[in-house]
Amino acid sequence: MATELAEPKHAGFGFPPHRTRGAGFVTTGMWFGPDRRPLAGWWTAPDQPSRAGVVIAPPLGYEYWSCYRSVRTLAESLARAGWHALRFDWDGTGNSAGAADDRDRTAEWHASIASAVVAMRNAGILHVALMGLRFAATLALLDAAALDVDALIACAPVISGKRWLRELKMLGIIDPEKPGTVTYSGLVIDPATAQDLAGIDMARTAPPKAKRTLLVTRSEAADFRFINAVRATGHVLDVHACKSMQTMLDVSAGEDTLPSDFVEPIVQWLGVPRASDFGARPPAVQTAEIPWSGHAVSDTFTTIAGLAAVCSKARDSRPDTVVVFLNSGADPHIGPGRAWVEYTRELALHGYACVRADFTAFGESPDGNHPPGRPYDPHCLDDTVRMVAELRNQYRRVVLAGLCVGAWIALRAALDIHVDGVFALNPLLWWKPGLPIIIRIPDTVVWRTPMRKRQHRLKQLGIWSLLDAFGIRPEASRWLVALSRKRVPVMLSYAEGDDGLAHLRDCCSRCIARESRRGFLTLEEVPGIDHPMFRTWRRPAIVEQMLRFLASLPPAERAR
Amino acid sequence: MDARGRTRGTLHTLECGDPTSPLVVVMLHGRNMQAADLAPFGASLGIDAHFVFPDAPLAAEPGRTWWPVDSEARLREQGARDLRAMDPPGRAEARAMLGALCDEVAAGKRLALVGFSQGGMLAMDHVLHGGHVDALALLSSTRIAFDEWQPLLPHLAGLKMLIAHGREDEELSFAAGEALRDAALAGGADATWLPVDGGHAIPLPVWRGLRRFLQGLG
Repeated sequence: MATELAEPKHAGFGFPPHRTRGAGFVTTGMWFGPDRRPLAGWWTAPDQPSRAGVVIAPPLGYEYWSCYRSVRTLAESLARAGWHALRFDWDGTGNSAGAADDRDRTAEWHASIASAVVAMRNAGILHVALMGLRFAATLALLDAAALDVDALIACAPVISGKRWLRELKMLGIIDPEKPGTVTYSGLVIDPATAQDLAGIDMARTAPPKAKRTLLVTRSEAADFRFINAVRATGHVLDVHACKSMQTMLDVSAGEDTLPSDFVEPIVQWLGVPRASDFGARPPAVQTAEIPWSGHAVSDTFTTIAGLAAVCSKARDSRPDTVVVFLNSGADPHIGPGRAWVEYTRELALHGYACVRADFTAFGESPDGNHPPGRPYDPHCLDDTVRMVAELRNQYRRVVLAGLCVGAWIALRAALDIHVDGVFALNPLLWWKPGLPIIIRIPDTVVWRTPMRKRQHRLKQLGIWSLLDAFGIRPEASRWLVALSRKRVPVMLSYAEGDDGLAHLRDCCSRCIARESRRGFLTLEEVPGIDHPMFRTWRRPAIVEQMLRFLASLPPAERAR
Repeated sequence: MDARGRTRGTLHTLECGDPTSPLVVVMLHGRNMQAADLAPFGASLGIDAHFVFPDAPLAAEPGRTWWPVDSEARLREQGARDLRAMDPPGRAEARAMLGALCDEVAAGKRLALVGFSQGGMLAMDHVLHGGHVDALALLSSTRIAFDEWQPLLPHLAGLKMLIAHGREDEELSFAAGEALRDAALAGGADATWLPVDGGHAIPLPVWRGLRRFLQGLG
């Protein structure tokens, strides 16, 4: 008997609720937790009835993106073994309510983990296990006893808060507008949170005793002081050394691979849940009212053209324009450092409908027959075309937005189909099929240095300008000319000094000047922001730019 | 008109146009460039000719070079100037390679040799050392090894030449271009002087001038 899913509480957006079906499971995007600050979750339910579940708490910060796919795979494997699995986003992260720089971070994070456990119990789960990765494992270790979970899995927990803070400071960026505040991949650690973290030393003060615990370490030698401290308190502690954990934690999303010794040992340790005649009934709250900038945004989990998506719009509004945010790199739909969540909610408050979607085999979308999360895969273009076609049935204007790879795909799609505008952040228009796909921008810059030097030399010699005069143009210029001829409004927005901008300035400046005069192309450089937009304090400049661009679009009647 | 890659002797070339045309245009790129940078222009000239764009033999960063560039680069870093005293090592070898190429591609045909910047220096060097051409175009170039060149200038007598230079050239001074023109005239060349606004580049007026020059050969 398949697990029966409850009907959505809110019909919301006009598209079907989100469901991703796989062999032996179905995953649903859903809201839970307090109405004042709803939490977002992806509930993976087994096909057979079950009353056992695992709450999976993802890492905070950069590792959230790195291990996204591995965690999804773990949830699906658990479901095939008979467990419900609930992956959730912490308060102020991912799709959940709250801003990254809200106060009381640690208190809210503790509340998030408790809400997830309660959500499972409310759904009829009798046996709840709790699993966390990195700092989430630390929080899980601290809270497991109080939450009375039946089992605890701690993957590479942060043992010393001070050491983790040092890591964050080394890898992150200091917010110049908030002294003492570190941001790293959308995670914001203010001085108060830093003080909370600094007090964590689990090798010195062992966490409260849980019923049974599996510690998954990066190596056999790691965490001895912690293991001894925990065992000294009488914990039942099993240890599994996952020797290749770095392949899902220490790399960029898109370069990550599922560690071969990660999923199976965890599934085996949890064991086969007891058979049950009646399955738990996951909540199916499709839409939530999210407090945002003093107002409310309706966020809805949905399916568009078979793809997982989250749609944002102002409460009770009926927008006629939808902005579709495409995956950047291999990031899931929340965007780099959660930028898409911030942008879509801000635009929603200004009267636009916004969609943050996952291409096939990205984020939460079904895999089809594609390998997961490969930027520039041709099917991403097909997905975009299908989404635009479906959205056209409900909106008068459809605008595409993307960053880097997503921007490239948005522009490429606009060459083939009718879209009402493209907001392209940092597209690397020198890229074309056949060139290597390099995930990290610093690596890309190194790889492209000889090409960039040559292109710059030819600019100095006036070659590109002369070629343009003869109609001999690089691919980027050809795209921009074609879009301009199609009368597609395009905003090219580049981070200061971006490699994509260097290419356009070297090779396409004559073309850009000409096409800008035609009125459909705008190119702007945004000072002080970086390629993936981790400098969160500069994001309002992007929102302002987007609003200006959207306001400049011709009325839908003219556009169509 | 797509350029085709070929190997001619020790040089790699890109070629386009009509290989059976009685006119061959060999076009030499400058320092830190490569054949592919100029090859797209072959078609744009609209001239019935066989265009040959050789790659310089030495790798540079970026592009390629006809001779080791250390000394030349050092001199150019000091500002726009005339390189008349420079005698780059490797000049004779480059000249020999160019000579072999011209012999191969232009046997029994009319040959126009075009050089930009360093390519222009080599083109002039080739002609002054007895290389036969029917026309010579030097774009944004300069004299080199002039003590050696000066007695050889009579080799230019009657040769149709185009010499173009940018007034704001910050790599090779405008005065260097004028001196190159004067040397050609002193050698008796039938030289056309084309000063243009702009820097060390190939702007549209130069390209138009080159097209007129090559059309005039027909």
